[in-house]
Formats: sequence, C-alpha cells, structure tokens
Amino acid sequence: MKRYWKIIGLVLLIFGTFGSLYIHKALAQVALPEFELVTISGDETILEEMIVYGDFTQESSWESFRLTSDEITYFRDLNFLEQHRGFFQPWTIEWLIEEERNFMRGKSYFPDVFAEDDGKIAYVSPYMSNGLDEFRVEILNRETRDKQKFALDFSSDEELREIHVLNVQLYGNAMYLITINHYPDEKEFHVYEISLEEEKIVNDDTVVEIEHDHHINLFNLTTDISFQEYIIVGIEYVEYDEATYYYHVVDEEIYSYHLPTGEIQPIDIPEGFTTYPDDPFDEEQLDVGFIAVGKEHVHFVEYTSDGLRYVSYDLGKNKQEGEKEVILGEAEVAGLSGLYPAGNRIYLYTKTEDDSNRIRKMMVVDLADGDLVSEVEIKLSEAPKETMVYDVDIFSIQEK
Amino acid sequence: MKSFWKLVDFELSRFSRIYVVLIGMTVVLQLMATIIISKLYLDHFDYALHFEELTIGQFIEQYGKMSLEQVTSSMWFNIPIVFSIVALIFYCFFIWYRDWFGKNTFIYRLLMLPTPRINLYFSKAAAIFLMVLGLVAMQVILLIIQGNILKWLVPANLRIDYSVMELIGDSVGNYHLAVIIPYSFTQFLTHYGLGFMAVFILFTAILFERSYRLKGIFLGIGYAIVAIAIFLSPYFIAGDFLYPEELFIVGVVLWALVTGTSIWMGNYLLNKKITV
Repeated sequence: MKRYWKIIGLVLLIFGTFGSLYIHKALAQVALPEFELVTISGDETILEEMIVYGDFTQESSWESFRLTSDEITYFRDLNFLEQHRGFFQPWTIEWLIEEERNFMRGKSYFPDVFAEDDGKIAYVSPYMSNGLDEFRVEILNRETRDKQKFALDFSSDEELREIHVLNVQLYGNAMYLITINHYPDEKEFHVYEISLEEEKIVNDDTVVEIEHDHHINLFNLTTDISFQEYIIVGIEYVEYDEATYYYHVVDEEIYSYHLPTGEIQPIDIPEGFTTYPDDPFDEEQLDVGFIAVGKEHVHFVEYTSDGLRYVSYDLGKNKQEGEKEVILGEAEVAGLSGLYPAGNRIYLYTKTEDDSNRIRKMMVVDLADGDLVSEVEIKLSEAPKETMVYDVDIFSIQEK
Repeated sequence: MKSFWKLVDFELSRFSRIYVVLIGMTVVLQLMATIIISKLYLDHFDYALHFEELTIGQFIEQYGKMSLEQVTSSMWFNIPIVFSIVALIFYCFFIWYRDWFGKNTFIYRLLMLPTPRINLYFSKAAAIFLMVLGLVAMQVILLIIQGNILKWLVPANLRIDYSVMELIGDSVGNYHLAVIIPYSFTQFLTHYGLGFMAVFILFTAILFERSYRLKGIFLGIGYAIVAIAIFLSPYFIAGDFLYPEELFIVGVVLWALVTGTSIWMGNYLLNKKITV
C-alpha cells in the first residue's frame, strides 16, 4: 500500500474536498425561508390566480423563487433537469407546453407570437430578415387535433428589409398579424388579416408610417393570448438633444385599431399626461404615468401622494370617461417598488413599516371599476433563524 | 488490477516534479495575490480617509467592500490556473509521445507487459484525471485559506466573507471559476464528464497517429472531428425541436456512445495496429 501513496493521497484529497464541499452546500441549503400569500383585505380568490416571480435577498446573496397560493419554489431547490424547464418563462408559455407539448416543440418562448381562440392555438414564426421571406404559420385545433400549416410569402415587397411580429390574434377563421415592417427610409405598423380557409393575406392595413428615429409601441398585454378586439399602438416622436446626447420624446400619439372592422381611431391622451420624465435619467418612477390596456378600455394612470388617479378611454364608445381615483395610502405609495399591469388589473408591490415590522404586500387595483379589490401580503411563514435581515424583490406578477 | 495501479503510480511519478511545480506556483502566486490586493485595498482606504477626507461609510459606498471576488478576478490569481490547464493539455500528448520518443523507446517495454494493453490506456487517462481533479481540489482548499488570510488582513467592517460556493454561485457570479469548481454535483459530473470524454477522444486520435503515422494524423483528426460532431449533433440538428431536458438526456446517451467508442477504438488500435 505504501507504494501507492500518491494515488491514495490524491484520491483522498479529491473525495475529501469535493465531498465536503457538496455535502456542506446541501446542508447549508436547508436554510431558506418559506413565504406564503395571505389576503389582508378584499377578494380572497385573487391570490389563487397569482404567480409571483421574485428574489429572496439576504446580505449579498439572492435566490430566485416562484410564489403561488399553494407553495414557494426556489430555483435552487429544483433538480438539474427541472432547472432547464424554464423557471422564469412566462406562465402562458409554461401552460402551453404543459397542455400542448408536441405542438410547442421548436417554437418561440415568447407569448407574443401565439394566439388562442375557440379551441384553436395559432403560432407564427417570430421574425423575417434578409434572405428569409416567408413566415411559418401553424394552427392546432385542440378538439379535433387537426393541424394546419402554411407559409406567408412577403417576397413580392422588394423594398421590405425586415418584419418584426409584435403580436398575433386569432378570431374565428381569421388570424391577424401585427407587425413592424422596416423599409430603407421608414418603418410601418401593419395589421395583416389572414384567412385560415384561403391560407393567404386578405387584407393589409398600414396603421402608422414614421421615420426610423421615432418609436412605435404596442400597448396590449401580450402575455394574454386570448382574443383582444382592439390593438393599441403608440407613437413617440423624438428629437435629438445635443446638450444631453439623448433622444427626447417631444410628442406622443395613440391609436386604436379595431380588428373585426379595421377601423382606426386616434385616442385622446389626457392633458398633461406623459409616460416620460423630463429628465431621462430621473429614476423616480412616481413622476410619470403609465398606460394599462384592458379589453375595452385604455387607462392613463398617474400617481398621487396617496394613490392613483386615472382617466379611462372607452374603446367601444371612442370617448374619455371621467377621472377616477383609488386611495392606497401615503406609506404604500412611498414604499412602492414595482408595478405589474395585467389588463384591467394592476398589481402594485409595496413595502411598508408597521411597528418596526416590514410588510410586503401586493395591492390589486381593478381599473375598470376603480376599486382596490385586494391586498395580499407576502408573509414569512417559516424562518430558518430567529432573527433574519432580508428583503423580497419582485420582478414579475402574472395571472394563471 | 494490480498492474493497472502500478501503471497509474508509474505515470504519476513521472509527472510528479512538474505537478509539484504547478502546485507550488499556484499556491505562491494566489497567496501573494490575496496579500497584495488586500494591502492595496487598505492603502487605498487609508489614503481616502486621510487625503480625500471620506468617512468609512462614504468609502464603502464609493469603492465597495473587499472580498475574495477582487482576488479571484485578478491576473495573479488566474495566471497559475491558465498555466496549469495548458500544462495538463500539453501533458495529454506528452504522456504518450514520451514513451515513443524518450530515451529508450519505453513504449516497447510497456506494450510487452503481461497485462491487457487497454490498462495502459486507462492508466494514462486515470493519471490525467487524478492530476486534474487533484489540482482543482487543491484550488478549493486554497480558496478557503485565502478567505482566512483576508479575514486576518482586512477588518470585518471593510470586507464581505464569501464561502467557496457563494463565490461561484449566482450571487457573486465568478463563472470562470465555476467551470473548474462546479456549483453542484450534477454540474461537476457534466463538466468533468465532458473533459474526460475529450481526453478519451484525444488519446484515441493519438493512437491513430501512432498506428498509421502520417496517414494516422488525418485519421486521428478525422476521428476527433467526427466524435465531437456526433456529440454536438443534437444541438445543431434538433436544438430547437427538443426541450432542454430532452436535449440533456440525448447528450448523456451520446456522451456514453462517444466515450465508449473512443475506448473501444483505443483498445482495438493498441491490440491490433500498434506492433512491437
């Protein structure tokens, strides 16, 4: 045995070091806290629809988690294969993969290019660039299991340089492709209507034509793949400021496009409302408003010292409704650390102090009714240590 | 079996001097890096307090706290690691060619040993694996020592103490170090499984060259290209079609296929094509 001391020594060193390293890691891993969602007030069913994606942070370390009404799952605690299953991907995609695993093979992980209506799921390959002048379309009928596949040819438009698909909508036998088309001198916002029976484009509307410097934004919630009758598009006209070396937004316009009729309507932006701060480097998010889009309304929301004030635009009637206000509380607004729109609902994540205890809660506002419908606390239910200094950051809240 | 261990011991002994030099260089340079970088940080701290008139809080806010992160991202820390990697890659070739081109064409004696010739192949591979993992294990211990040195040199309010796992995990994110010290045991198997597969492919390619000489160079290179291409094929052919976990399982199967084929081919070449 003495003769083999080098081998024995190296083997002991390797097994001893890596063994203790991974065993120590496994033992240390027990020490992550459990959190739960608890309704403080309002609708108790809302928390059952929520998936909170966030990070538990302590000193300099952090661990990503997903929190639902049932459980908290830390990314760290998943096994190797589970960690590859898209822990952070949108819930819509996870649901689609769970329900239609074969159909989802080889497809994009962005919900923007999927649509669902009347038992059918549609998918459009996400982009076209030079040399590739076809779009692949796939439709799955979930009841009959029939698949329809065809390609859309854009090669006849010789000037077209690139198309970005922003959204896909499915409505009966029509599919709508919402795109930004890039031409040498300008870019255009298009809505293509595709007949699923004829498998070709039957209508092409150019909603916006602008120079490349200006911005086009789609305001619809693209994680919701169910049919949305109205497409809301915003244009930001920018000017370059040589003093700050920055493009400033000098004007904004918003339009609605009604998919079934092809009607384009300008939307009045409330006076004084802006989504851009004067100083682009100002990190204070409460100075500017935000736009939330529901199925029938566009909401222009601004912060006040104790809540939200907003004006809703009724898309069906093409008119602004009166101003509404939702009181959240001064401390809640001051402690605001994240905002997550979900159609007519918005989730506001805020951290407040109560008798030296920090309360982390989500305030759910229904913009259609103007109500604070629920307050849900992220409550520490099981701590590994008696005293623990920690924080919880949220980067996304989605509805199941 | 005894012959196998004898051969492994023999191979280790032949490389032991260079191995000790690599260990010595790593220990000296990395400990020096820890001491020098800590000292530079404290000198900067003194300067900032006396000449820039900063408070301790302002200094930490502006320049951050000292941790092993600064040490592990320094040149002096990484030079011995790179040097050791290069030396071991070079040794993968040297371990075979020295037997042919050494003083007494030692390979003829080795091939005449009353033991299956594949033991020669496995013993050389085992020696490489032991030396690679031994160096990495030593690096882990060294990181713990460096952490303690940091504790002695830098006051607690100016430093952040990281464990080895924190250093390579997402919190700090020293991903270069996480390649050689994988964050989990599964990753350990993946990283070193790939490394060992590469060593087996290389050994077989070398044996092609030794078997067919000039023609063997092309055969060896061709074999290596084909083996790597087979292993990577699902990532190119079906990377989009397969889900990540399926891709991983296919990867494991192909890893076993390529590694097994390399060993089988090595055995065949050693027994049928290399003659004494």
